[in-house]
Amino acid sequence: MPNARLIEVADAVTDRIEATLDDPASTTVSREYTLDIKAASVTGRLVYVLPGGVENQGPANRATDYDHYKIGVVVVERYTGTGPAPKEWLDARLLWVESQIWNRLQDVRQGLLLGCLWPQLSNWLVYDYDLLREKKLFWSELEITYREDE
Amino acid sequence: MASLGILAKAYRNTASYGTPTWVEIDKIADLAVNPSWDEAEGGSRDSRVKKIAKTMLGIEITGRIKVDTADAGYIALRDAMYTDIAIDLLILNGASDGNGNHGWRADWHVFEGGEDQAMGNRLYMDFVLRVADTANDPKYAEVSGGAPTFTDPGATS
Repeated sequence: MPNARLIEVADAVTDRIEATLDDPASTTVSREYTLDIKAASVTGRLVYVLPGGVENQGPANRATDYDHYKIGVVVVERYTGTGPAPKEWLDARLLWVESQIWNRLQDVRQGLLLGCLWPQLSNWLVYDYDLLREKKLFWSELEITYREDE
Repeated sequence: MASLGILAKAYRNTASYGTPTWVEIDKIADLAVNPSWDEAEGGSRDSRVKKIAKTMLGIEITGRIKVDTADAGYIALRDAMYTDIAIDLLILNGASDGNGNHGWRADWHVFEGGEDQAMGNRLYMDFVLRVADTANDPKYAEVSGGAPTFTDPGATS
């Protein structure tokens, strides 16, 4: 039942983010399937975790296969000041995503997820240029592929 | 039914030799069974054809098992690697209740237990089994009537 496992993995990623945030009061974390975000209504920092997909990579041994679970993470925050978002504001957001999300999800040294999944592949769209320019919205997308053979 | 490596079985005896309880070691990834007879020349003047006698049978098994410190099968192989313990294993090319499946039963020593700890690796132990010098002679195993039956290698009918 790979989809049930995918949901478990997404929930575990959500829990890990929530449990390790340095500033939990200023961030809302939730697991979602779709994102319908109106830029004007974005308040505070929002983190979304999305189940992305499942891939079977063939047998690992006689008992189990290698399975991949792709999890997407989107971080959204609106710049509410006048004029375009200043460089310093963006620098702080990039460093926040790196320290609070990227480093804690894609680094196997942070511990196995659910005791048996490790990050195999990771990529990060650091920010969306168009949304930033047109909507003053900081939008950062990460995709982590977890692998297991249990 | 197709004979596939992934459906082959390695069983570990967790009870006595005479009344075995076979428990599958399912964390094995790859395994190769390599029986090989030694040869001795048997030619004479009665024929110009070279004749060869089979003498001693060597049985070596090479395999690879997932490192899992919660798995009793892995622990048994690992412990047998660094001690003199011989483990009673039944190595079959299918399930122990599948008529016609065959393989070997013996007390085995684990002679090698390599582990490639490259940074990108999931850890596996590469092992080599050879027949141990114990009171239990190794047997050829064949499943008949839904259970393994054992005969001495080299026996003639």
